[in-house]
Amino acid sequence: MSNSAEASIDHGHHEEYTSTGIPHKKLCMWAFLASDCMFFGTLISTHLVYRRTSPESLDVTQFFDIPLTSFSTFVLLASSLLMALAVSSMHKANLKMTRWTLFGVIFCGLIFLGCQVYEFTHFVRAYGLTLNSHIFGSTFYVLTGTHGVHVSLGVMWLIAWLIYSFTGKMGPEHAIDIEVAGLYWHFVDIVWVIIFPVVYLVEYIL
Amino acid sequence: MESETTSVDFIGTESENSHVLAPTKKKGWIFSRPNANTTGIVDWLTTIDHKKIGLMYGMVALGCLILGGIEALFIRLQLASPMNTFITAREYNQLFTMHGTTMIFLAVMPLSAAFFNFIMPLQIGARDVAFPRVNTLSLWCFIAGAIILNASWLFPGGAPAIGWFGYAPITLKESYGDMGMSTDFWVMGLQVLGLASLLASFNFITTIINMRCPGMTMMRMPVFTWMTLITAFLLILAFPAITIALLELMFDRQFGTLFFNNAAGGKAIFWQHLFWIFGHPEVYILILPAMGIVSEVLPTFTRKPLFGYGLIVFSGAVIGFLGFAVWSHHMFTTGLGVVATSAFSILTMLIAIPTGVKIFNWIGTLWGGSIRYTTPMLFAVGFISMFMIGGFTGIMHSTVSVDAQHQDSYFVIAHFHYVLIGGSLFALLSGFYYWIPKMSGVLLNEKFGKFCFIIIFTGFNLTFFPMHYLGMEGMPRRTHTYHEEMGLDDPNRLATIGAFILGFGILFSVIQFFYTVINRKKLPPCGNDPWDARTLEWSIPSPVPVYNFARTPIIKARDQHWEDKYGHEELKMDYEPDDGHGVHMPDRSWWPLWCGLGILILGFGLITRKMTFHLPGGSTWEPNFEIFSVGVFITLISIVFWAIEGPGGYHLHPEDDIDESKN
Amino acid sequence: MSHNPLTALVEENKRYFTFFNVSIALILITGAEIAIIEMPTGWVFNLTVLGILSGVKFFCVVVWFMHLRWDKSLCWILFVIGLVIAVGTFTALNIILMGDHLMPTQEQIE
Repeated sequence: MSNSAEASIDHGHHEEYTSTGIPHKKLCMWAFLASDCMFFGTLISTHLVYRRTSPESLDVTQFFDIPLTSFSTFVLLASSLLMALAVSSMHKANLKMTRWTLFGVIFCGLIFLGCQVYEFTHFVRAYGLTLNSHIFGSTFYVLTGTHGVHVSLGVMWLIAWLIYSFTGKMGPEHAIDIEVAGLYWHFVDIVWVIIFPVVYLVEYIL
Repeated sequence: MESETTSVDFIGTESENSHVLAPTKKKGWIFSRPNANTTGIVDWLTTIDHKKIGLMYGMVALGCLILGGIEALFIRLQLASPMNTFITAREYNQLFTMHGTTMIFLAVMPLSAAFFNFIMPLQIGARDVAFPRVNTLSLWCFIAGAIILNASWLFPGGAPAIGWFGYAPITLKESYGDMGMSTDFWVMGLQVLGLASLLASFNFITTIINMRCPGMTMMRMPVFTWMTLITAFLLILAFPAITIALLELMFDRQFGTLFFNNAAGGKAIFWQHLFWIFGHPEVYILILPAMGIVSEVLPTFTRKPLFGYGLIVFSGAVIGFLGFAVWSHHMFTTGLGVVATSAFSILTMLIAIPTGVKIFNWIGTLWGGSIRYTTPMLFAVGFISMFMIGGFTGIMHSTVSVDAQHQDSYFVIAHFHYVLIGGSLFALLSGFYYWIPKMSGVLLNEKFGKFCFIIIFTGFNLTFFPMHYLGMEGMPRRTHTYHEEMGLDDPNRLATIGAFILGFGILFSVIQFFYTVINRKKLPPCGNDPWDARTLEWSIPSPVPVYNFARTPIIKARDQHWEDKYGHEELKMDYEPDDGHGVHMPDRSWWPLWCGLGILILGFGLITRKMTFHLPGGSTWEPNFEIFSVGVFITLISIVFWAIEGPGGYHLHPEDDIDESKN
Repeated sequence: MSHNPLTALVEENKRYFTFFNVSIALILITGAEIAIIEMPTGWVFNLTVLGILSGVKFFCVVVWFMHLRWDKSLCWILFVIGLVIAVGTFTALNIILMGDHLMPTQEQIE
């Protein structure tokens, strides 16, 4: 595999060539989100199927705390707004605003996770609903737990970028990275937009 | 929308010069980043080059093909005579489980991946794939998955004995206490393999859509690249279903959840649904790349363009889409109800239409062509005939009342081996004979290749044709023996003899591949284009230089290389001007390897969680989450350093070797 | 899509206000969702309205926050492929398993 080549170290900043004009990372993230639709679709479907067909009925409205869950829903919506603003700040080359909005998203994400953890421990302690006490426990904890893991991964990802923004190396070429993180974060939000009515609210109607 | 601000305009930056990428010379944490002149084992371990990755996929997959074949030969030895006691019933179950899982996930899929990796970027004029380090991680995840799956042989419980589809409730811990950890190895192995496939597919989708060279529109791409794209879409949409199903199964086994526990409100049948929602697109994942390879080989050896290019591409897409709509045809006998059963039956029949369209188009390609029967062409034509037979039996299954007789009989085994061996494997072998000259620079011996083809073709038909009869006579699948009075002796014996012939044929081919490549320096070079072929990869030297294209081609027509050789002057390929910049090459990296190792360890950690290790000195240790945590830690650290390291890169300034490509 | 930096900035600022408007809409819709479950208008109506409201929220976040409104159609196509296959497959699956709660009672078996 010989080539009469001279290797020289790369110093410059390359404009990435793309056939479509969409940056690679963005294209990849949209493909990933398409895949994630199937992922959460399977989990939500599992929950719905078992909710309809479980033999012993379980009145879950007795332990749902709608005010708490509504609060965490609003928190997640707020984080979505802040994320959109963070992406916007990157495009406007405003590093300070980016740092604040990213911090806001992380803060809201952590509050959301805190509410989830509180909710889970409350269900276990006060009502004895565990992974294996009832099929509802299995599907509920695995579905909302997987969503929670997605949120946690998002929070860690954003913390990494927040830290990076203080290193002085963050530039306009990183706008795409924040945009891609934003797409992931918004997707996690829309999954919750579906989970909230389908898992929580629908129990009060049917 | 790219902003044109520079770092100076960037409000709030602490330091200037934040964009200059420092040369990667600093010594790293564990190892320093290998530079452009790395050779030897470090080169192979840290490579991000799609060609080397493709070669490694191919080598490991060929090894797994032999392994899966040996497992099959054990099965055939057991079934050679009635009431045989060569192996026990449980060992038999383990063997058919491992044979199926190995052949599908460790042989055919990675062999396809080998070609996707090596050939696809060359066909679209790309420098590499979109995310080279992720590509390396896919490879190491595949190897980790192969290790996890086969490590099961060495642990209590042995290899899994649940079938390659692992139906609940046999997979649940409560059901069969002495299964030990075998099912856990299967679950974890498949999860890691799934991760490998997903990562690779995201890479390929981004590469094919976004890294085509100028002028390479979607409808000028070779059919193999199209099939790569469609297969990648199938993978990213089908694998999540099995990932969740495996997750639910793992939770059932490890944490006592109730997903597949019928008594407690779960549904064992739900596993079947989720598995086949993945499983059916999976079989199209296995066959579409093969169809892509055949669509390349046939035009080359008939000296005609592919008949009905647009229809073949469109049919491939339709097959991909409809593949999601037919999963329950694997479940016709489970009592779905008349409506569901009829719906799936009709959809299954529908999916035969685009498949048939492809076959007619391939025949159209052959018709009136100036045919050369080289080894790759023999395998390609063999594909058409054998796949047709498999397709006919498939259509028979789509009729529900007939399927009720076929289900779980040897007729189904005959069907899927005709499409998988006669289809996928023949096409993959065709691909090897066709493209090894491009990869290595030397031709494989034609006489020996043809000899291998005859052995494989004969052995294959001798093994699996009698199985149609066996199925109709009522021989059930997955049963370790049969009685003398059933009248099944002779076809079984014939099948066993055929199996050994087939095994030897494949072994000879594999040995030929390795032998030729190892001895390539002693053989005459084949040049850029030994087959007088049509697509872009044949316009560059063989073996392919590390930078692929010295200058990026500009495409003006489909089958551009053919147009260059024999076409009109105005359609000849152009090249991007030499801007003195050279070719940008990504840097090698240790981190995908470390990340893969972390995943391997965390996999083992989860499986052996409740195992009691006996330490020297007499004490015992139950790891619980300790090994798992170590694996997670290594994975996370690798990802962090991977991110910090950045893509890096250096430039190569190759001599202009464009003139050499004119044959 | 080459803009000079100034028009890009003006665009971004316009979107700033759009984001706030979308947020307010999302908050109001969420409030409506929580309210609808208490409404005495029958479960069919409530369920339908809940579904529509969720769909609108989903659409708003995808189109505005996720930028699809201003992006190339390829991003739309990729996402819609995943959405269609997921929704289609799992609707079919739920319909297939719909009748399963009709388990026979002990008397019916005997």
